[in-house]
This record gives sequence, C-alpha cells and structure tokens, in this order.
Amino acid sequence: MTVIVARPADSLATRYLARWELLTGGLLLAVIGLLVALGPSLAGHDPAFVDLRGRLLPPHSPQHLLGTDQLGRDLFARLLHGLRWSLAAATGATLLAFTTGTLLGLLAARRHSPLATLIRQVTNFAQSFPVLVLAICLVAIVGNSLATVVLVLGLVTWPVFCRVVQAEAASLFAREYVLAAEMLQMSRLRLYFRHVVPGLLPSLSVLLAFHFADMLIAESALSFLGIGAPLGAATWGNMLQESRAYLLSAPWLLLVPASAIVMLVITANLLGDGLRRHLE
Amino acid sequence: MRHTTLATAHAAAAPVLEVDGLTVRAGTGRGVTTLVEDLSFTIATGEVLGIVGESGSGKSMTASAIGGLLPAGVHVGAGRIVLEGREIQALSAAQRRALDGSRIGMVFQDPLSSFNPVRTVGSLLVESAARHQGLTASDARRRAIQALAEVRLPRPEQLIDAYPHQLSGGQRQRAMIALALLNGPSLVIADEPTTALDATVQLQVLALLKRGAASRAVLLITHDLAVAAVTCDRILVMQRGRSVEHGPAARVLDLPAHGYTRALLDAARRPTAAVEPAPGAP
Amino acid sequence: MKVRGFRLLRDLAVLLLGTLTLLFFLLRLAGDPALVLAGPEATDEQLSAIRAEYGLDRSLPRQYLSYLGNLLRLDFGRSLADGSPALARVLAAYPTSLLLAGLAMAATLLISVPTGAWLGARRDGAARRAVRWLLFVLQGVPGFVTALLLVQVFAIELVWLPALGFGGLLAMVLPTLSVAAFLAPKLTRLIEANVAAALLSPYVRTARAIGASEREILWRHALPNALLGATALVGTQFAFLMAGLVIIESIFAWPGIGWLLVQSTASLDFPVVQAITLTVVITVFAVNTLVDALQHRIDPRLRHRESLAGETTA
Repeated sequence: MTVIVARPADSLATRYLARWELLTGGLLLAVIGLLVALGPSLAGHDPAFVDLRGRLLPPHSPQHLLGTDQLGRDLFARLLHGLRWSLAAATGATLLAFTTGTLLGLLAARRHSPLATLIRQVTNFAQSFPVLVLAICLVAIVGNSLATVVLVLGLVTWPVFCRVVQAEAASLFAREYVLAAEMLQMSRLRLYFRHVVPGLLPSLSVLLAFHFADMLIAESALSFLGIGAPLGAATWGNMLQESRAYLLSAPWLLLVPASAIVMLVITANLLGDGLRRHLE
Repeated sequence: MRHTTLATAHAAAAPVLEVDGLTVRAGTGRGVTTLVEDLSFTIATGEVLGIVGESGSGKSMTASAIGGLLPAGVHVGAGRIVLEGREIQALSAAQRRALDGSRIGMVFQDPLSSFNPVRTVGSLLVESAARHQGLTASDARRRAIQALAEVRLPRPEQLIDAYPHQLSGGQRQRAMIALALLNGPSLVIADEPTTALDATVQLQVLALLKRGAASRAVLLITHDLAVAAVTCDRILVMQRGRSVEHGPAARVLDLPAHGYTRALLDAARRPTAAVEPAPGAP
Repeated sequence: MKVRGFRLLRDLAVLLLGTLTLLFFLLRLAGDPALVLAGPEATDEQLSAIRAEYGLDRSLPRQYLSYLGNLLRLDFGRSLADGSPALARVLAAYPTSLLLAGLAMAATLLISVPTGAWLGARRDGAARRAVRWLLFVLQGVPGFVTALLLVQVFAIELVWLPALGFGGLLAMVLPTLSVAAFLAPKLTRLIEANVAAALLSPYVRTARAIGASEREILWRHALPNALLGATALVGTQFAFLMAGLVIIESIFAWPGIGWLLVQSTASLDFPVVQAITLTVVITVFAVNTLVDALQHRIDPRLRHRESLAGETTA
C-alpha cells in the first residue's frame, strides 16, 4: 500500500499558527473592548467640539494626541466615537444576519418541504441581487441612522449564513435523525437543539468572524459614500471622506481612520483564521 | 516447478538491481523512526521479486527509495542501491531525473488518482518518450500509440486522447504499465499494482507484468500472497522494516521458515481473519 | 443542452421580475420624487404638472402595471435629472465600468496566478512568510482605503500618477490597482492551497516517476489543476467587483454606472436606478453563467461524461 507520509511538522505548525492567531486576535480584541468601554472620554475631548483656532494640528500636538481635523475637532475623540459606531453597526448587522440566516437555514434544511424549497429560492434570489444597490436604496428610504445601517446590512447579507447552515444542517440532520429515530422517539425540536446546532457551531463561529469583518468594511464604505451616517457625525467613513480635501496638507486625517479600520478588520480576520485552523 | 527453473536459469546473469543494507529513516534529531532496516536483495534480468508484507512493513518505502520518490522528511539513512552497476541512492536531482522513466519504470497502485484528471492519458506517454528518447512530438506520439498497443489496449490511437475517467480501472492500469515500459527500462517497480482492481482484471494485469519481465527485472510490492504466488520467482517477506524471509517462491510458500510467513499464509487461506502477531516477533 | 438553455432563461426571468418588483416598491416608498425634481421652492402647479408627466399621481398598483408594460418595451422612462432616456444614460456609462472591471480582473489574475503558484511550491522561507503576511494585511484593508492610500502615495506625495479623472493610460493605473489589491489576496491564497495540494497528489508523483523537473511539475502538472479549482472563485469575485466599482468610481471620478448609481439614488432618480439595477443583475447573471459554462468546457471530467466503449475484459 502506498503511503504518503503526512509530515508531522505540518500539523504542529498549523496548531502553533492557530494559537498565535487566536492569541493575537484575542489580545487586540481585548484592547478594542477596553477602548470601546472607555469611549471618547478617554481622549479628553468632545468629538463634535469645533475649535477653528486649532485646525489641522498634526499628531503629537499638545492636548491632541492624534491631531485635529479641518474644523479643529480632536481626532482621537472622533476615532473612539467612530469605533463605537463601527462596532455597533457591525455587531448588530452580523447578529441580525446570523439570526435570520440561521433560522431560515434550519428551516430549509429539511429537503422536501415546500417551505424549504421556497426559502432556497429566495436565498438564491437574494444572493444574486447587487448588495450595495439594495443597501443604498434601503437607506435612501428609511433615512440616515445607525439603526438603518444595521437593518440594511443585516437584511441584505443573511444568505451567507443561510446557505452554510442549510447545507451543513441538512447533512447533520440526515445523520442524526436516523440515529435518533432508531434510538428514541425524540421530538424534532430537541433534535435540532441538542444535536444539529452544536454540530454547526464550529463553521458558524468562523463565518461569524469573517462576516463581522465584511460588515465593518461595508459600513465604512456606506458612510464614506455619505449613506448611513449623518453628515458630520464622527464615523470612520465620514472621516475618510472628509480627509480627501486635505490629502496634501494633512495626511494624518486619512491615515488615522484608515489605520483604525485596517486594525479592526485584521483583528476579525485573525480570529476567523485562527478559529478555522483550530477547528480543522 | 516453472518458477524454479526460470530462477536458476537467470541466477547466473549479473543482477540489474542490487540493494545492500538499505536503511530508510523518517525525521531528524529526536523524532527519528526507522522505516526500513538493513535490507538486502538482488534482482536479475527476467526475474520477478516479490516483497510481501502488511501495511507498515516498509515495503512501499523500499519501492519509493529505489524509485527516488521518497516523501519529504524521509531519507535513505544507510546502505547502497546499485542499478546496472551504478550507485543511485545519492544522486543529484538532475541525475535522478534522467533515470526515472527511462532506466526505471514505476507502476502505482491506484491508476485513477495516479493519472492527472485534466490531462489525456497519452500526454504523459508522449512527454516521457519525448524527454527520454529525444523524439519529436509526432514521433513521440507514434511511440506512445505503439506502447499502448503493446499492452493490448484496444484502439490505442483513440485511447491516447482519452481522459483517465473515461477508461476502466483495468485499462488505466494497462496504460500505467505502458508508461512504465515505454522507454525500455531495465527495472520495473510495481507497487500494489492490482490492489485497486477487480479480481477478474487482476490476473490479466499480472500476466502483463509477467510478460514484461522477460527482458528486465521486476520488483513487485504486494500485501497479497496470492498475487506473489502467481507472479513472482522469488519472495522476500518484510515485517516492521526488516526482511524475515527470502527465497524462491515455491520454497517460501510451501516451506516457510519464519513464523511470520506462516501466519501470513494462514491468513491468506482465511480471507476474513487478521494476522496474529507472529511468534518470536520483536 | 436545450433543457439547460430553457432553465437558464427561466431563472433569468424570475430573477429580473423579482428584482424589479422589489425595486419598484422600495423606491416608491422612498420619498416624493416630484418634490425632489421641482425643488423645495416649487409651486403646487409645477408639482402637479410634474406628477402628471411622470405618471406619479396614479395609484400604486396601476403604476406597477404600466411600469411592467414599459419594461417589456425596454422603456425605462426618462431620467429625472436631465430628461434623457434612463436606459441610454446607463448604457452610456456602462463601457467605462466594464473597462475598469476588465482591467482589474486582468490585473488580479496577473498577480494571483504566479504568486499563488510560487507560494504553493515553496514550503518555507522568509520570503514566503513575508509575502503571506502582506497578503493577509491586504485582505484586511477595504478597497476604498487602499485606493485612498494609493492616491496619497502615488498621486499626492510622489505625483507620478493622476489622482482623478478618466482619460489616458496613467489614469487607469490607480483605480485598477485599488480593485486588484482587494481581490487578489483571496484568489492568491486559493491558488496557493490548490497548488500545494496538487503537488502532494498521486498524479504529480507519477510525473516525478517519469523524470519531470520541479519546474515542469509546477507549471504543466500542478497549475492547470489548481486553476481549474479556482474558476468558481473568479466568478464570485466578479460579483464583489461590481460592488467595489461603486466606491472606486466615486473616488476616482470615473463616469461609470457605480458613480451614476450613487448620484441617482441620492437624487431619487428612479428610472436611472432601476435601469442600473437591471443591467447589473443581468451582468452578474451573465458572468456566473459564463463561468459555469467555462468550467464545463475546460474540465475534462465534466466535458466528457461518456466513457469510451470498453470491452468487458480490461
């Protein structure tokens, strides 16, 4: 029998990498959590306070750790405010998409019911729909606010979860159902919660992390385009948009929010990657 | 018996392959495992030597070592491999490449996965002929069709453009043998060539190998004593990386000297039973 | 083949109908277009005149029916912004977007394929780790942030390339790179994984057994298989691409449909938004279908389903 020798180094490296990714991601997450909890007050300034005499101060200026923007508003305070906004939006959207998608996915996992077929059709349709277009439309209808963004992003991205849950639950269900049917007269609900859902958790957790990263990016993109966040609000997307006029004179207006977004997304990606490697 | 007369007839010829004290190890430093230990044997032209053992016995590693296909992390720790009078265990990659496919031909176990699913069966043959015989594309193609015909494959001029999944298991294995014999190698190594095939097809493939053995040396690796009985002139039994028995096929099968061989034979007679640990095993 | 064609048409029809119905109802709820069109200072007469002209005073169901009827005649109405036919405006902007999409896709492939192959073949090394780390970071940077950073570096600081505008070869560089920087990491990692898997496969072992060099093995024996497995991702990346266009066009002021979409939604220009949605949906659908068909053509396992008429003996 021919043997392809599995190099022992490979699985070891994978485990170390997973551990490193999870540790770093977790550490960053803890720092972020701290910043969120402390909020803009950590900066010692009101993010909306306009001071036209202190415009466009570079970072490391006295009293302004990260400098000020074109209206003299403290960048650090605005950054922290934006952090809360982005996290709230991304968390809300992810949870909404997760709940909706998982529920629908579970319902659709039972192959032959008409409801399942319907859900699958709707999912197919929803996935083919240009996401950003729908998001823009919906926001135009309901207006600019955090709740809108959460609603929009959550309702537009649930197919991601639905598809995965549907596929995995179907196979889990087929396996577990046969087993349970043979052993006990277990109610279907119990079957779902005791057996199917736990089986889904590994891939769902990975998906959650990556979806969260996608929501972060989507929210800042929307706010960059002027959709979702009220004009002048301290969100990272807004800050990026406002920085465009000052790229030459005050590049930190761009770099501060840009670095923040990147850091947050990388954290989510680290956690997602680490989880996936860990669960392989 | 027919086996013995052939063996004695060829015993006088110089061996094509000489393996002397071969040791194969995996890993380095503290994590070293010895997969093959101090293995020695020879094969002459016209002979078929069968290495028999269970999985983990080291027989496949032996084949890989001779064929230059040891996986990463596995290396020849000691000993010599001499092919046609030339030591080959420590050749450079370029020197090795000149050998593989031209002086040594290999036949693998699972012909479906051993052929690239997105390339035609013939493309490998053409590539090998062009590389080792320096043929032009059209000449190489002619040679490839000829090779397919030599292994009794029907309509070889069509088959050469077929994809692996379009052939049956037996046809694929014949094509694999054609690939191995294409450039007239002096040594053919067949690693479990019939394990993935149906019983009816196995005999045909083995007959093909036996036919090919007439003008070269054949090393046959198998866990199946029946296969060895049908095909081999001599049998070497391996257990845990070491050779425990070695002799003419008839003698090994009828009068096994080692307890492990006896256990294998007994197991072969009762197909569902597992082999119990051999008495006197280390 | 015919059955597949019919099924495709049916899917497309359902998709379009559903999309447009959804849009119709959503957009009608968005606000009063007459006000937007006439401006806040408009008199009531001006408002009702506009309502009559654009059919905005009819009941909702009747609007819907006449709307569908118009669609079948490919009449998307007139843009509320300048009165030109909505579809024409969209189609005029279309080639610009296609150009960007095509360039970006080409750049992505040019980056991903060699890099993925190289990464998959090398198992270790400092260079490899560095590149993988770079890819990881790139994947975490949103497309528009990359665009802004690229503009900062190459247009503002170094003044090598123009920051804005559509026209001239140089103006295409930054937008293309921005999109490619976002698409490439995922594709590269997939190709890398596929190549690494292919290199461990039995058929590569066969290639080694006939004396192929490492370079031949990589390019002739492993890469074709790796790329085959990556075609599906290319299809989904295209959908991503369409979304990215919206932002990139806004940043670089390219007059494509993405930029048009943002303008039109902000001004509640229904006909144009509808037309854009329709064209995007059709494009994504067409690309997905093409990728599917491509896969069928290039994967021999799908192309040649029949086996050769074999005899019963092997």
